Amino acid sequence: MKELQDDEIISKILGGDSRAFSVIVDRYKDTIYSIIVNMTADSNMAEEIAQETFIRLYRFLDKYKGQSSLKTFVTRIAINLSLNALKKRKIKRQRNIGIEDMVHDVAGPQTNLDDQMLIQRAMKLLDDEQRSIVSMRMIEGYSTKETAIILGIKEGTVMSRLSRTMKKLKEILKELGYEK
Amino acid sequence: MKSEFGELEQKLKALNKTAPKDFTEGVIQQIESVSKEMKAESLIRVTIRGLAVAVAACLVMLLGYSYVFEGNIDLDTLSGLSVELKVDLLDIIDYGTYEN
Repeated sequence: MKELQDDEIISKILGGDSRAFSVIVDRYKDTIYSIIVNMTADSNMAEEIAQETFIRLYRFLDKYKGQSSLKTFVTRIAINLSLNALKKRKIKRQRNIGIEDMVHDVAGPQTNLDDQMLIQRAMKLLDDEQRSIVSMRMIEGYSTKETAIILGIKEGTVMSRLSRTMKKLKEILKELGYEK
Repeated sequence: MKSEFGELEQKLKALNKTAPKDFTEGVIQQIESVSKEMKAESLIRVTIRGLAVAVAACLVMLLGYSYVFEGNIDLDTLSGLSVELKVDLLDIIDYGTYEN
């Protein structure tokens, strides 16, 4: 079963073999979880959203007509659910208070953070959309085209937003004391 | 991009995470109950459609009977039905025909 293509597995699932869905989950769970956890910075929330993503995929599998890859389709569900969850928690509002204030709050007394922690903290200071682009393009290695399809924007827009976001990330990191 | 952000890019790649253990099992357990719900929803939809078709068929028969045995009767003179209801009934008849 594992060697089958996505569309072959989908045919099996739509034919009533719901167990075949585990192959799809196994295939994409790490990518989806990673994107969500990097967007939400909350592992419990990420796990819930990732589960909901696959449940939604199962429910709407008959709507998938193969215009884009299944990976793109499922990632779009994950991104939408993550953005909705973040809106609900009003994290966005908190993040928009002002980067400088937040940088001081975040850095606080913890001055010996390792690079990984610093980058994670800097990621939190990006807005939701910027974080989704960085998660997909830089962390998960999605192509510009895939990212454009998932976010419903043009490839050129992905590239310019990514460039701006990376510059912003670098500035935040500098504020946090990351000097590389 | 790579030359400007090369090192940062490498560090970002390291933020890649893997899903928790037993994630797939958790999803599949939920899928099984979702699958049952979907079957129940599907059954309800089929039942409602069946009822709509049955009601439409009854109305058609009633109208046919009225036409044949009680003279030239049309929808406008059908006693006891408002214009709106007649429109709704016509929609149901159309829907039932389409569904068949």
